[in-house]
This record gives sequence, C-alpha cells and structure tokens, in this order.
Amino acid sequence: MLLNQAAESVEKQITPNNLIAETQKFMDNGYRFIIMDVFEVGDNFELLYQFGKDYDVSTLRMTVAKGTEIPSISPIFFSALLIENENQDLFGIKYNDLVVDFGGRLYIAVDDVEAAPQSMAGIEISLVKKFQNKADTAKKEG
Amino acid sequence: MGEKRRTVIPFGPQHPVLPEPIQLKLVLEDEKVVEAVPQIGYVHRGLERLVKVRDFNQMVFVAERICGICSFQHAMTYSLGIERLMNIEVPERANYLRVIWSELHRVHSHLLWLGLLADAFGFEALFMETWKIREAVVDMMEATAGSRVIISTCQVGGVRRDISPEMLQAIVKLTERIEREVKAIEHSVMNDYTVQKRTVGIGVINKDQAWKLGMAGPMLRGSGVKWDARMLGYAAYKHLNFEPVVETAGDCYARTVVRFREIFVALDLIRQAVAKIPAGEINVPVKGNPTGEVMIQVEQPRGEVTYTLKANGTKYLERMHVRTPTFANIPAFLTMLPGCELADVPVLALTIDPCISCTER
Repeated sequence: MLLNQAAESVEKQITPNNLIAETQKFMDNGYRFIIMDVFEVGDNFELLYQFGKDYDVSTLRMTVAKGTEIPSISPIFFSALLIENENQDLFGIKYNDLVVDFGGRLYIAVDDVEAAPQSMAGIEISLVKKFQNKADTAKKEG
Repeated sequence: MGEKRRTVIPFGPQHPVLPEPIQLKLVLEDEKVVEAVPQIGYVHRGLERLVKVRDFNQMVFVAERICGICSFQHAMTYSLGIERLMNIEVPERANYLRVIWSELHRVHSHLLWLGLLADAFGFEALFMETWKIREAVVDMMEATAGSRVIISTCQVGGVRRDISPEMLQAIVKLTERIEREVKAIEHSVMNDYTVQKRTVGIGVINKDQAWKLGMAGPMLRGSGVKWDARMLGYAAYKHLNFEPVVETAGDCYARTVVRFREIFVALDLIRQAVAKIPAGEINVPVKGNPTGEVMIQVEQPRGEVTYTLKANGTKYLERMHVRTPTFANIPAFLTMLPGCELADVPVLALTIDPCISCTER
C-alpha cells in the first residue's frame, strides 16, 4: 500500500484490460493526473497511477510482466505524455496510443539531436521510427 | 487561397531567455505558432538511480541538488517521505525552522523569476532591482546556514542547524525590508504599459483546463484553482494562517500577479513562524531502516513536487521518483503555444518558471 499525507490511502488493483476504463472514471469524476511511478519487481513492473481531487489522492496499481505493451492514458490525460515517454526511455516499457511518441528518446543522447518527434499530430510522428525502418531495410538488404 | 507555408524554427536549447537548455521545435505560419514539439534531456543526470549506491541519509544531499533554487524543499520533501515510512515525529522547532527556510527559498525564487521575466522584456532596471532585493535573501541564507542556495540544513528527523533568537529577529527585519522594497516596485511593474501589453491575454488557460492538464503552483492558481500543497499541513504549516493566492484570468499577467502576492504571503508566513516557534530540540535520532512505499507532496516556489519512495528495510532505497512542478507544467505550456505569436514564446516560456534541471533530474 502506497502511503501519502492522508490518514488513509485509497488504492485499487487493476490490469491492462481495465486501465483505460478506470482512468476514464477519474477524468469523468473531476480528478487530475498527478504522476505515475514504476517499481521493478523481479520480472515484473508495478505501475502506480496517482490521481488527485481536492487534497485526496487515489492510486491505481497494475502489475505487468516486463515486455507487456500497456495502453497509454495520454489520450485521456494529456499530461501523462511526458511520464509515459520517460518510462519508455528509462524502463523500456512500451505504450500503445501515446499522443506524442518520442520512440524511447525523450531524454536526448549525444547522437540523437535529430531524433525527436517532428509533429504533435500524433499519428506518424517519430523520425526515430523512420530511421529505424531505414536501418532495418538496410540490414535486410544486406 | 493557397495553403500557408509552414516554417519550423528551433527555439533553444541555447536561447537568451532560457537559463537552462530545452528545445522547442516551433512550427510557424507567418509569425503564428501552430505547433510545438519539445526536446528535453540535455541535463538529464540520472539522480534517482543514486538510491542504489547512497544510503537513505546520504540521499538528502542528492535530493537537494536536484534543483539549485528550491533545494531546501527537495530535501524536506524527501525527508518527510522517510519520516512517514519510519513514523518519526519531528520536533516542533524543526518544523518551524523548515517553514522559515522554505519560505525564504520561495521569496528568492520568485524574485529570481521576476528578474528573468524582466530581462526577457528588455526591462533591465527591473531585472537589476529584483535581483538586488533577492541578494539580501540569499545573504540571510548564508548567515543562518553557511551557504547561499544549497543550504543542507534539512535531515531525516529534523534539521541540522538551529537559528538563534537574535538571528530570527534579523530575519523578521529583513522580511519587513523586502516587503517595502517589493511593494515599491509592484505598482510600477504591474501598471507598466509594456508589461501589460506583453502579458495580458497571452497564454490563457482556463480553470477547467488547468486542472485537467495537471498544472502546478502559480500556473494553476493563476487560472483560478485554489490548490496549494501547503494546505496539507506538513511541517508547521498546519499552525499558520494563510490562504492560497488565486487569480482567475489564467494569462501571463495573472501568473505574475500570483507570484508577486505569494512573496508577501511567504514573508508573512516567516513572521508568523518566528512569532510561534517553540524552544526545544531540532532533530531526533533515526534508528533502523525504512520499509514500505510513500508519496509526499510539497509546495515548492514553482508548484507541487511529489516524491515517491520505496524502501525495503535496508539502508538503500529501492526506488526514488521525483515529479517536479515544471514536469507538470510542460504539457500545459505545449497547449498554450499554438495560436500565439512567435514574439510571445519567450514570455510564455518564462511564465511557467521553467526549471529544467528539476525536470530532468
């Protein structure tokens, strides 16, 4: 159980299947997205989504095997886009439907200056993908 | 009419208004911004990973180095988390001292920000005036803690240094002087034609958007949301009287007004804390190691910071995750940019009071 400054913590266990539905409930009930935390537990990741209303905090906890693709909540809470991209960078977690996908390169490396997304349109936005496709093609060709 | 030609220009990572590196790729139609894509990571240091090699007491020093401007509040938030996990009762005097140093940080941070904003306008006299006032605050930090910015007075279980009664009175005198000096510039700044022209109606975020976008601090309160983590009552805030400063226009001007008024609130909180501070110990011994998970929210000058800690009963934490206020405000910043003029981008960038070292950790 994740403690906070309240006397009692509110926490609910969820799965990737109901993540979006549960997140939507928070949006519909006037909560804001505070942050998501990732804990590595053996071969699993524990993801804690924290939402706030007034001064109360509620947590959704989800345990997934490493390598599992997770639905992005950024289409519901736009503010989740940075932390989900950060988790892609730092933990290798893959998200579906990220509104802006930096392709695992939110935190720029020395050689990545041109690798950032070129558009916020949200469909095919990452030059990284184009570079990777090019590299893959080159590899196949020989 | 044909389709307007789009131009992409890089804003940063090195730019006169940016004290730290961040890049925005701005897509323009004529002078109007239609899209903005951020690129961060130029100062990512991986500080959170240091929990693997620095014990939970040493990590206080790492936490306060996440940011040079709100360093004390980083150390305090981290310490509050460990204290919550270990059920440590911090002595009341230490709680009041934490408030005094926290609010001194808020005053110097807001004055620093105001100077940077003035510099962006080309309002050099205001830049010099605000930084002159701020100088006295960091001097006071040095007088009470030995350092001007990263003061290293917070520790798990309380604080490391006390402030003498004479020095507490000197702090009260300083607050009165700063209040006079800030009031003297407030009227001329907020009624200045150029300041109003560059800030009124620019970068408007309404109350509903501000909440849904997860904004923090003066950004959130400038849009009419009365939310301030100090109302949670950590440290000695539960014993002090104050109301969060709120403006409703949601534009750059409203955020500036919020920060001005928050300086006065901070000065008042310092005086209240000095008046009520009890005698007694300033820290308690810490025995054993922390276990469990905790998330702590604290109001820094730029807004709410959260620390999530996971401990396993050893002296090394398993995980420390920090969400800083600038991290929370960047999505809102991206929302504000489309539709604005290119010339407004520097003011909008400064209006979120960006701290990139905080954001990237």
